[in-house]
Amino acid sequence: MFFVLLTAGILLQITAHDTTKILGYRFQQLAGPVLRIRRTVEPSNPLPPKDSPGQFVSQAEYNKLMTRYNNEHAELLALEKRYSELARIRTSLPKPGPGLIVAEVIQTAITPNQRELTLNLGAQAKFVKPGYYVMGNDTIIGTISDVFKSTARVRLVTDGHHVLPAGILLEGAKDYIPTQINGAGDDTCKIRLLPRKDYDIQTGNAVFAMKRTGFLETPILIGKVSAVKPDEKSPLLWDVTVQPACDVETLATATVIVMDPPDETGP
Amino acid sequence: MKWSRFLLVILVVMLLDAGQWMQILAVGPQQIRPDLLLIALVFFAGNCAAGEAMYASFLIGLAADLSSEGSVIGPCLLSFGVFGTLLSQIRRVVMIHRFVFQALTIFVTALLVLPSMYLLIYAKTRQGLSHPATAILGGAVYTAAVGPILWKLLSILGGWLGFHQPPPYAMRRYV
Repeated sequence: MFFVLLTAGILLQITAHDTTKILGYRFQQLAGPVLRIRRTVEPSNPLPPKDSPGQFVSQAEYNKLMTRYNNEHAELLALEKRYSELARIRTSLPKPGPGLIVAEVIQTAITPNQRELTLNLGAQAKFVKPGYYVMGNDTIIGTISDVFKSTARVRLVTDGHHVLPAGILLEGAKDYIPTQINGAGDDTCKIRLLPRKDYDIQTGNAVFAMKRTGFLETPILIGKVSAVKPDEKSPLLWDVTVQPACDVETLATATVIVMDPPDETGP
Repeated sequence: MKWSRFLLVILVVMLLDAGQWMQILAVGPQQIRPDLLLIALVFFAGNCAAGEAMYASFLIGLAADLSSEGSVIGPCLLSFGVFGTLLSQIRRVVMIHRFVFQALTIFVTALLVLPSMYLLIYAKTRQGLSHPATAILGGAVYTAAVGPILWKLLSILGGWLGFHQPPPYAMRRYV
């Protein structure tokens, strides 16, 4: 009889689990109400309220820990804010680049000869290189000109020495008019060398920083055409004035588009 | 033995063993609990006649399979059946009336039953324990520690269950 039972056991053992588990499930189903009975265990010594200095540690230690907690909480809030900003940029732009670094604007230098910003990048400065594009309010405001240990200098698109590949998108058009945008040295930019007979440029047309391998993966808005007139020196060409969409003088943070990002940048 | 009463007792032990209330006895990160059916196995194998012990062992094994968390049918049936039957044979020369011996017998049986059971479960489902040594040793110690209590309760029911407890081997010549 032992061998009969043993054989039955072996047969059940080698039968596929999917077949035999039905027996177990049936038992669990039938005995479910009984099996689910349990005693609720209440803690015999409930924890005291959160704010009870002196309960576990001394008052001095409590104050020290609370100070540290408040500082950590403030840092957490700052990180959450930065993360939200990054997430917002990620969702608002089609494909800005592999990584984004949000940095605080610590200095704005707006003079007739230079139009620059200084960004506080901290430890992330090592990931930033000259030429990287910088955004403010979801538009391109300039490019990195110099990188230092923890800061970087941004040359604005309006700087007189700044040149960027750009594109004008006419109303209803699907293709950009390829061109170059130069800083005018004031609050605007200039686009020249566009033949008047070929392009019907209107005020209000959008101007984009164009895709550039290694720096920008998709066109991003710079501003809009604010004035169009025939060039004074070459009347067959347009003299286009572009008003950047972002007012950099009130900008608190800027975002650097990093093409070779570290793992911890970006959401 | 009155088998209907035996089945009722095993059903109660089975429900106790599988019920959520046993969580209050769980210890450690692996939630190690005493195996009540294993205690019942040692009790019946140690107190029933050899033939009855064999049936009882396989039935308790089937109960353990049915009440197991993964509902894996077969591993407990085989390991409980085989080692329960072996224990019923050894019982003829080993006295397990004292609490210490009861705990020791349960501990040794658990050390034989649990590894074979986990191996058979792995063979069937390809799912193993993350820390098998801790689960086996911890389970064996915990079951052995709780064993004499359940043993005592089952001993009280011995007459009602109707099984004949044979006298120890050393005393048989005087019976």
